[in-house]
Amino acid sequence: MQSPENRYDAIVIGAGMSGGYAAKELCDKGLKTLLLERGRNVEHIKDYPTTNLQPWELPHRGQLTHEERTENPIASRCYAFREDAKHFFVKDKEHPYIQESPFDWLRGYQVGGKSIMWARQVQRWSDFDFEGPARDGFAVDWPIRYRDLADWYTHVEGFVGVSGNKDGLDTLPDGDFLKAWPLNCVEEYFQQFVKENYDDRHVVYARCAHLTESRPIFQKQGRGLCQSRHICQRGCPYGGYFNANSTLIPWALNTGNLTLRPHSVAHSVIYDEELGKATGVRVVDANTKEVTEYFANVIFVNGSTLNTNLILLNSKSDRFPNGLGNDNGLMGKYIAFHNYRARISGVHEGHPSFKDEGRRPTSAYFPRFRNVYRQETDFLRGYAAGFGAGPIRPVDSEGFGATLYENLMSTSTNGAWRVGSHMMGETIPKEENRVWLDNEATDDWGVPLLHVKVDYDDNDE
Amino acid sequence: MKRREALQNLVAVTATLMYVPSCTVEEAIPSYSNLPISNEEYRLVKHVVEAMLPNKPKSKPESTEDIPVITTPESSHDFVLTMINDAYSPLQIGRYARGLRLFHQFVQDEYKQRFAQLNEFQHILLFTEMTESEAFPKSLQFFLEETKRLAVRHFTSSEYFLTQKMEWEFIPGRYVGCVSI
Repeated sequence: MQSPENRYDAIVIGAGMSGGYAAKELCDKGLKTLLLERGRNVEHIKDYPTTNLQPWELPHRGQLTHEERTENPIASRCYAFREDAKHFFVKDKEHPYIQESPFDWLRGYQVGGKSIMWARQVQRWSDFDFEGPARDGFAVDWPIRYRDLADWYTHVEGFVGVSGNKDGLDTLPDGDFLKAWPLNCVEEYFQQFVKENYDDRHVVYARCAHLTESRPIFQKQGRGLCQSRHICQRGCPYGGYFNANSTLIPWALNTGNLTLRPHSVAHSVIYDEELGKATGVRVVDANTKEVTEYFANVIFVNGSTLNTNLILLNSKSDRFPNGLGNDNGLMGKYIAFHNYRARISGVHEGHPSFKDEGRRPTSAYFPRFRNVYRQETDFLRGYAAGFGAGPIRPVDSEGFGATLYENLMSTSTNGAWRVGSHMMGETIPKEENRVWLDNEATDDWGVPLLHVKVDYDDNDE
Repeated sequence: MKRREALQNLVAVTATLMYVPSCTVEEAIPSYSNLPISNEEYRLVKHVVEAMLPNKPKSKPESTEDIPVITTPESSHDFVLTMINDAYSPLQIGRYARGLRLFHQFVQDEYKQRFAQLNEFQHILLFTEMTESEAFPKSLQFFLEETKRLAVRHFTSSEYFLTQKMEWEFIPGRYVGCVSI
């Protein structure tokens, strides 16, 4: 039953990265917007409990307890699931799902979602990414090209703040960047080596969503400059990096058009058979389990990739028995992800009289160089890579007593540098990588459990 | 070998060892829910950690250098025991507790004294011998190795060590990529 207090101009499901942005844009346009979030509120600064803890103030120095590790085998797969940020991660037992094949579904169910813990790397797609499927025939052609998004990249980057260099590469379009931190001597050495030996491979500064300069828009947002603490996953008291909590929610609230409703689990989108339109959202209160319906002419589903599929698949009606808009049966299929499996590391001894100073929340980046201009290898698509170096300060823990004390106190840089790189590979969208709803099992809020069947394939190998 | 026999006896005895009650007035010790230890065992761990890794240098009367002051939110032995209790598996905790008791018993048998009554030289000798020789039970070695590992972690995560030895700053506010050493 519709009542004035349940009626809005727009409803957004999910107060994370994209939901927060949708709500901000809708509020800016004057629409009374209801922003639903299944988890608790996380207010900028106020709800970052660990952000100012020194390393020695963490009782386990960053390590998880045995119980936390063994009770959360899935969340433990994430590098950021540690003592200082564990409270932002979904615990395995609280939100089960069915792994048809092993799949680490990492989630952050709170206002801000995973925008609190994300790695803040923001590289633009190029036309090579949009043209690839048509050229190589592995998927349906993108209906858009880079030029259709270019202004929107600029629009968003201008609001969130992106630090980078204008590198002039056709594989990695530039934006209107804030200044970059420097690469260190070893990274620059490597960059130069690559430049001298390869025409089509480049090492560049990895563009990241951090404020390195002040601009009026950031001052208006109430954000300060990044201080290079590099503990972003805890939330930042300076608003130094972009997350929904610091940048989007307060802005939307200031318009006077936002109603933020945490503890609101979206069960399904309501479809009116007579009007032939989606008209609202069915919400289960996370605490009381009470069901409430909210109505709006505009509904955005921003529940993260898999949950958005889940909600739409669960939005069944006579018109759409297989989920809202799912006439072609494609919903929940063609899940693509990133192949993060390859890592290399080593020791570089060539710059013994140098070290670095301070810290940075980013490092260096190799834009994709395989199969860019033509298909060249026996695998389709390619991979980008992160790259970074840092001086080694070995700790000598030989001996006992005074000897051990003296050995530890002799720690200093030894002239060697550690170097590492990790691959970010593109996967081919395939129909068999899919999610679907269980017919019977539901979670504590009556929402069907999700089956996830997503695998690596020969191309990934 | 006499020591080997003593060790074998020790293992047999310790297998049925109960907690050794202490006669002295006891200050309250922290409670470790997964690692129940007696007050005496707690104090033994304290003395072992202090002997293994003192938090100040050997005093040199002729030296005029400032002695580094290493302060931490908790004592090193409390950190060691908290980590064993919280971050180790039940199997590892059992091993550690067995090793602790074996250590206590061995020192009693060998020196007829408590560990705290021995001198620095004897402490170092004990640690070195026990961790290097295969004649000693694995759980005893585990007790010593993990105690050392955690004592070192506590030391190297202290404010003094991080800021003075690792040149670490909480709020650097900058990155300089190339600095001559």
